[in-house]
Amino acid sequence: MRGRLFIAVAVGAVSGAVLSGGCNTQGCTDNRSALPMMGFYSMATQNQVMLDSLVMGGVGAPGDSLLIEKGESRAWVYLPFRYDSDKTSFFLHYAYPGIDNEEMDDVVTFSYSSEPYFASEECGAYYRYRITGVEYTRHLIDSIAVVDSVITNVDMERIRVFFRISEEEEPGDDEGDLNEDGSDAGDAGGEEAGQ
Amino acid sequence: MKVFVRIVCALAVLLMVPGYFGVSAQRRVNPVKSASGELQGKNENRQEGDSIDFSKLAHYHDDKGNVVYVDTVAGTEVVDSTNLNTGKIPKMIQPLFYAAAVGVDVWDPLMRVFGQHYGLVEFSAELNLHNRYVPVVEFGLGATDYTPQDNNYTFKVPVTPYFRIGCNYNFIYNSNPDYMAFAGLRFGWSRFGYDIDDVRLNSDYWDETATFNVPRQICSVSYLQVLFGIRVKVLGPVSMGWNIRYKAKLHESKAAYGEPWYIPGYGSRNGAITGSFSIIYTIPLKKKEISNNNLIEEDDSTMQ
Repeated sequence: MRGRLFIAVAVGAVSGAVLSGGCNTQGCTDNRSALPMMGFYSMATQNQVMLDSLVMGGVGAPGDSLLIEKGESRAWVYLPFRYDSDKTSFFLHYAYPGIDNEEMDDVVTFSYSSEPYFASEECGAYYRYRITGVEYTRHLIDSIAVVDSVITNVDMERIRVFFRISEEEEPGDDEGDLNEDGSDAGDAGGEEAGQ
Repeated sequence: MKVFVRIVCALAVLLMVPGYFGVSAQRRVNPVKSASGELQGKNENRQEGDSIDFSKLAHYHDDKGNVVYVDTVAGTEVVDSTNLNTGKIPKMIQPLFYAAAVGVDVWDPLMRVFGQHYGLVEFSAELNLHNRYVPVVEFGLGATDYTPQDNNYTFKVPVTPYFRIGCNYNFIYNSNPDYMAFAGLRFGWSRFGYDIDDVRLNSDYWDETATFNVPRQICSVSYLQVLFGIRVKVLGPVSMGWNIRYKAKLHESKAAYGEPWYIPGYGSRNGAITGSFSIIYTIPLKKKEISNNNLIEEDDSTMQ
């Protein structure tokens, strides 16, 4: 009888330890907050472009802190929305020769609604946003497309900004990623500001 | 008189000595073919577990197809009852209503010791049919109040009942009923409310903080569990059972503000494997209808 009891308890204890260890969570693989990702594109080629002299930050950010500092080469940026407002504005300063002045800066303002949302045990809770409108100046920005207006913690590009820039195309490089993906620049432009 | 005795002894010696030497001188060993057949000199029950090769016994088939063995010495005839097709040979030696049992699942309390943050206790009731088919009803209470150390919320589910119904199949139904090795299926259902409170957000960039509660949500979930387990009697009517369960949701109502990570009865929505560890009290309902002794007695009666 003692043997049976020992076997039953041992099997239960070992299996419990194994299962409890095997069921541990793997951590949050997405963001812990809703951060819309905005990608930079060339209006001329519809290709994603790498900008090396773009300076970007939030309008009214404490300490004039920046999201992109001068000298960084970036093709995308995360845009943190404000919690205590339904609008958040960002400025884009172009530190390129000839346009490196504040008069040429562009300002993009996002209007949105927010609601609390629970992502998962690992990623926690955050505000989920729904973009209701985009307003922007057009110094170098040609258009802005909102690919998905619902902003969750899933790490994917939601916004595309198309610049009026010229870039040297390499031979045979006329088919960019967008065309390969089948995306249509016309559709992107159709979801522009104010919608 | 002495002379007479001496004469008799001398005659006896004279008669014995020539006979002895005569046999010894004529001794020959010849091969002998037994007239009694192949069984001569063979002990087929020498080892424990040996059995006689009945095909070598004298027998014939009667008009019903039964094998009739013939005792060639006594002249009696015996029908081979082991091959009689009576149609009553039981596939399951235990009766239909063999036993009932109630159990308590202490898996969740034990797992809480190992760091699990949910679950309370679970009870089960079952009816053992032929020690083979075991319909089961499971009822439990689930709850959680969990604030992860490295996260920004408190997840709460008040004490909530849940139910499961299903059946086990005991693979060793004709063996010692003190042991069971079984597979089973469960259908579970739970309807519960959950709260995500004290959500704390902090934006380093904007230097803002926000604190809010996610509105209470009501959710109903149905799910399936496939399980494999063992059970061992440990003391009188008390047994201990352990099983491992694969779980999958069948239906879950939509949640406007995010799905719950804990579902009473189902457990954490992460992972597909869980288990249970139960203490079971068995209530016998009926003794065996057919025992091994009865089977032997039937054979004996037939043999007579």
